[in-house]
Amino acid sequence: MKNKGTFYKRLVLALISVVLLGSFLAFSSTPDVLAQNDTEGGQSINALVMGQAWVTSYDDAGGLNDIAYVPFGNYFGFSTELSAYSGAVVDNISNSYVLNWRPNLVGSSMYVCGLRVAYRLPDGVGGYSSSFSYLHIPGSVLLPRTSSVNWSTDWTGGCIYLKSGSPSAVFNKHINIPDGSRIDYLRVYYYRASLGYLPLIKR
Amino acid sequence: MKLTFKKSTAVAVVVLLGLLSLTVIAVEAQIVWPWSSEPGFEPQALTTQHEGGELQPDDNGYTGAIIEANQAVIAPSGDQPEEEVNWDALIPEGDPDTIETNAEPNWSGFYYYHATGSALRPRDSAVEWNSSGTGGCLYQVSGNANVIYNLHLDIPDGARIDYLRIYYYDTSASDSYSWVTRYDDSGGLSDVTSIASTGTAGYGTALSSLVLHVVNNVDYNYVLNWRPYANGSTMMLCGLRVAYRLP
Repeated sequence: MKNKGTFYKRLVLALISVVLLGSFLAFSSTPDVLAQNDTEGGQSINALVMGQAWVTSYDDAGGLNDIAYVPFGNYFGFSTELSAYSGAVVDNISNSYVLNWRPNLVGSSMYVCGLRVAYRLPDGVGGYSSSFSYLHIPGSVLLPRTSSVNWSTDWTGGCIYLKSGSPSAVFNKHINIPDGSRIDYLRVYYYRASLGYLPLIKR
Repeated sequence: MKLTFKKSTAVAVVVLLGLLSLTVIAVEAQIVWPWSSEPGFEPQALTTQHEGGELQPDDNGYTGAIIEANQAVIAPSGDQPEEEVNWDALIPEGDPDTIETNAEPNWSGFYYYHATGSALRPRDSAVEWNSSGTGGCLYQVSGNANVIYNLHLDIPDGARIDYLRIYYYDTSASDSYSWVTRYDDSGGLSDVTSIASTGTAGYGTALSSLVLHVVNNVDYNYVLNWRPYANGSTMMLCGLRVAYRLP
């Protein structure tokens, strides 16, 4: 009887230990594991929807030119991605410029936390400065081109996400870069959540 | 011993039930667990690029390979084809807000603060707005047509605002108005200059009179404004351009 009681006691303690240890490991490492495996709830990240950010110039009559573009969302957690080289020269006489973001998904699983344009000022002799200048905005200053969507920010107020409405809605922000500058790159800073569930179910 | 066993059993049951409850709640509510930190409460490290201090193509001092953009993969801003407007035909040659005219010895040539129409937003959330198919022009869908749309006007302190130009699409019987306002942060305001869209011919542009307003960013802030005076895409703001000179 005594041995049987001891056996059950140890069995219960072992069970508790396993559950607690499993929970701890899962809570602390699941995101990393998912990120390393490029999966979100079992999905490959390559199959997930990507956001888009780009710079557009307008000619005030419906004409446009998308001059720097970066799809993003290839990594979990806080991350950043960079456009390819653009090399577009700013012409403020004829064009206006905006930063754009298209979420392509609804919900807080992906935030845009910042956009940064790297440009070079003209050097006055036909070339450009050897160093970059930056125009850097938080995501939360972007606003939709249409009133038919709802949006919100994260805890900090710096990152933005689409709450409801068409995921194709475009958010924009006017930018003012000195005339004659050369826009080289657009960088986007974002946060992508990794969806993991504990302790018994992982989706 | 028997008592201890019962306590252990009770603890185990409670723990298991608690974890099961957490799982059920997480699945049903689709909670995204904050894991080790919540945004804003703990600095987060970027997981890619910029990690480890390695220079990237947009960092000063980078000397590596440069990948040029493939225009084919760039997503269009709009979902409708572009329109061709000959601004040279619409803007009279030698208009005073061009570089070649009004040169003055104590002031620089013209600089331009050029804003896209779709970058303005309403001052009142009671209206609905949208942008044109190409995304550049702004119009009010519904609501009070007197509502004002604005955008912060960021011009260097000491600069002189000379002209405001409006670019519009107007087939409406009404005329829309645009202007620059200066606020003193305590309810005081002064409208620096204004200009209206006119006619019903579609795309057009109009220029304000000469203002000669010197910007004072120490005591004031400046905004661009637009009032549509009509709902619908027959009245659209496509751009605003402030011509200013530096001292």
